Amino acid sequence: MTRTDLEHRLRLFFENNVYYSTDDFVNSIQDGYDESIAFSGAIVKATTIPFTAGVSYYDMLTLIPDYIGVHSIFNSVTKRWMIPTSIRKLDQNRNDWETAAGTPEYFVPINHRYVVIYRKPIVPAYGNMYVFYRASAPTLGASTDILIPEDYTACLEDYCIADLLEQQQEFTKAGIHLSTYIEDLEQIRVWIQNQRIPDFQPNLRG
Amino acid sequence: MMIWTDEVLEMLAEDAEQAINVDLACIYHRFMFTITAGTSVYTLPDKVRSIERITIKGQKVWPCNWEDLQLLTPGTVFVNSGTKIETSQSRSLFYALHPTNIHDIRFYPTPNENFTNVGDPYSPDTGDKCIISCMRNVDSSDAISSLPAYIDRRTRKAYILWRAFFKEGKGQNLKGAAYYKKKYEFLVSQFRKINEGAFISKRYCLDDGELAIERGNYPKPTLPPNFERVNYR
Repeated sequence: MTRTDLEHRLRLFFENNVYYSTDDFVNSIQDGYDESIAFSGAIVKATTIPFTAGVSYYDMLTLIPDYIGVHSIFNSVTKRWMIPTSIRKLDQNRNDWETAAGTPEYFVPINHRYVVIYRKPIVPAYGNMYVFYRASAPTLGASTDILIPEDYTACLEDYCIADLLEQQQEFTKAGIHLSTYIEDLEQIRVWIQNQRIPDFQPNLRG
Repeated sequence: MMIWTDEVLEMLAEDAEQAINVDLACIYHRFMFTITAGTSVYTLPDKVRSIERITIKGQKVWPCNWEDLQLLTPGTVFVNSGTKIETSQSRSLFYALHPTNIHDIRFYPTPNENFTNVGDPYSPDTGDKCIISCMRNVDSSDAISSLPAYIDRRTRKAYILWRAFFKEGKGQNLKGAAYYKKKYEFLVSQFRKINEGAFISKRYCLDDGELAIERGNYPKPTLPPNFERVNYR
């Protein structure tokens, strides 16, 4: 489905389809797309980031403008995946871990912006890491495909209807569509994160 | 027809930032902290909302509570810069909040060296530095200390409209206020999920705390994604 397709569906929903301008629809669709992609994690990308000598904390949001959260990191020098861990475990390992120089083997996400690595290379041009990350939504063109699975595009449609109705202070109607949007968004999130491999059974072993 | 004046909207925009600070402690920040030899109590900048970690010369300074600190230092007291008894001075091992000011912290033992606030806190080394990691206030004038674009505008808008429709007088609409309140709370809860759950490849679990992936086959119950990350409610 493209932005034009969705706009057409919205025009069909609003019986007086000239009441809202094309700009109203475009802005609303883009807002809804930004929000639903950010919250559902529907787009995952990979990119190359060079290790910087002496740097422990990487500002991913500056290095990768569409970064939302880290998925996994591969050290291309050692050809090994880096292992996710936590600050507390690093503290237990050695209390000056931030300053430790060596081969990057572990990483800890701090928040929506920073990721810290342990240990840090101190030689210039050490090499690269491949970062797999959840990405924010791109700007939609008229014929750009919307990267939400077809079954769940009703979610975006509900966002737009709520958004357009609230602009006319139709809060009761908008509230109904907002609730539906919230439920649908949760369904996408759960499907993307948990239900794509029902074959896999998590268990209590490590 | 204009419903609200610019003055009202600007006031609500300021309120929105404060509300977001309270509801989303998510802006991670590190800074070099100036330390003076012989002084144990310091006032942190107002922007600090919660202390995540302190290091001196690259070594972690461990947090402790005020009662424990009294037992550790029965012969030391700090009332103000003129009235103090600073015994045992060396590299600080512990810090605690200090009752003289809500932003005051006290180091123990009292630092015996001077540290400046010059340097890059994101590339720490073992030099003479004190680095404080914290969660800080949102500051829209600084890109690094702002909320990311995918959440910022809509969250502020929802808060401002919630409070504007709730306000007494012209334009009051309680149905509208309830709608935008729900929207604001939804956006805040989703952003918390991003901070807690973006890291989907990680499974927090109860184990021995070692940096090993696997150690035997004993059960490791999976804990919620916010385990060990108590800032987010």
